[in-house]
Amino acid sequence: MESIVMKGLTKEYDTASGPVAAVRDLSLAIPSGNVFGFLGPNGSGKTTTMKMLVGLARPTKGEISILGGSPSDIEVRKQFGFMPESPAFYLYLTGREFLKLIADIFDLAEKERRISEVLDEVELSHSADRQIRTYSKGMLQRLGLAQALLNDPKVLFLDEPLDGLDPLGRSDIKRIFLRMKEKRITIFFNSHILADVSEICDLVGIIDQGSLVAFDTPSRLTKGSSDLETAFVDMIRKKRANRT
Amino acid sequence: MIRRVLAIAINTFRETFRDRILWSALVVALVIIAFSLFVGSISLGQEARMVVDFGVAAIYVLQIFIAIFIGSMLIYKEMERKTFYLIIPKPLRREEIIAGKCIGLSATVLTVTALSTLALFTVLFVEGVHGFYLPILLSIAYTTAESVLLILLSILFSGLTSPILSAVYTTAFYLIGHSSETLRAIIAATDSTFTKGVLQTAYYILPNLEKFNIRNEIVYGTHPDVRSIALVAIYFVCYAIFLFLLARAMLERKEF
Ligand SMILES: Nc1ncnc2c1ncn2[C@@H]1O[C@H](COP(=O)(O)OP(=O)(O)OP(=O)(O)O)[C@@H](O)[C@H]1O
Ligand SMILES: [Mg+2]
Repeated sequence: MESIVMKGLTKEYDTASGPVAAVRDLSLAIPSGNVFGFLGPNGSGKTTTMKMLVGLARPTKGEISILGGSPSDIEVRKQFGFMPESPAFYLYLTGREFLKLIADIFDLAEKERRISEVLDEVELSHSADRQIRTYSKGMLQRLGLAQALLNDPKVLFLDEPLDGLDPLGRSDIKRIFLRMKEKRITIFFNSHILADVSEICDLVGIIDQGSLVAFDTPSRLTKGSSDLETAFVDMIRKKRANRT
Repeated sequence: MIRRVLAIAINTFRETFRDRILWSALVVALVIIAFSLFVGSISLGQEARMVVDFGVAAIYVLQIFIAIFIGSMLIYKEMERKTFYLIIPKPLRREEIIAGKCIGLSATVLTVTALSTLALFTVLFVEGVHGFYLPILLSIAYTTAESVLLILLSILFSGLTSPILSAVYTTAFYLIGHSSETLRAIIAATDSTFTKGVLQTAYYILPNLEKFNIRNEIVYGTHPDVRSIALVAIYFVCYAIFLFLLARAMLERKEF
């Protein structure tokens, strides 16, 4: 079974110099329960892809299927979680109030219990009753993860979840990832921190200038190179040389 | 559905109340109303009318201010700060977001209106001016309805453009909405059938906000009859639905 399927996904943005493709003809299928790391340099189209997957942007061309449905379908939305790149919150709410808002939107049963559970999971319980404007970057990142986990999703979309965290924080988040993985949750995450990717991913996709360059297991991608980072740089160099 | 709308509404209400602009506006209105206390002996007919007129106008300006300026910030702020990234992908219909925002901000207007009306009534009571309470309440109900229309307009515009432009557009609509009579006079004076057609269409599409103005009546202690109240209510509901559908279409097409 595949949880996430993309076929010929293309997104063009209108700019002053005509339409520019941020994502071109992307086709990918992620089997259920897999952790997929989506890698690419800055501006390669990772966020754009994720925005289409969660229904924030409409594809110019192509199809998306999440758990067999469309991202705009309410029933599908109940089953996925999304954490954007550097998530932004209502600053005058407390962390707990914000999660309460999200729990109300999901219309969850036993809201308070679930909120405490998730707060414990991301280790934010001690600051849950402070206003969000007083949070550090790491705490914001944890709250972002908490709101994505609140509805006990089957599929998780995370845009740069490890960004801006110290090594301790990264290791905490990775531990949460592994717990999610045990629960057979499908995780799709964007990153450019390659060391983290090879540890926790079952599958890796590499995107450059909007096109998919590679899609495989980390071990097979690394074959012939010293590590994933070298393999990544080589692959993108080669691809760009071919293109010009 | 109701629960989701309510969740958004409560959040919007809470946010506006944590906004300092709102409190400043409320304080200004209250000071203006309290100022009437010092106008001197107002039990004479003429001056009593002035206090009523003044007070009702202060409340009206406060309502319009909140609807136009805070309303214009509403959707824009969510997009600018990207809080919408956390809300839009949730299992919510776009109309639930619009309804929640509109209800939340309307609740803000209502709360502020209730507080300032209470202040006005206190002033009138202390000054011994009775007999205006019902007409004043009616007039305020009318202007509250007008504010709800302006809230919907500014939500619509704030999804399309920057908050400053949105406030400018909503203000323009507001001014035009109060000039329907002028527009009708222009139509009558126009010869070209094309121009006439365009203006006539505009006349019917643009809101006629003068319908919500009964301030000239109430200072004489009179008020409209049930039939005309019902007509205005119907007009309000139809126009609100029209604006709501437009705002929904705006948010439906929007990308983030
Ligand atoms: N709304 C937009 N309008 C026009 N161009 C856009 C828009 N959003 C993104 N782009 C362009 O699309 C391309 C891909 O951007 P995207 O944000 O998807 O990259 P990314 O891989 O997430 O980068 P990063 O690692 O820096 O987060 C970039 O060239 C960007 O400038
Ligand atoms: Mg990005």
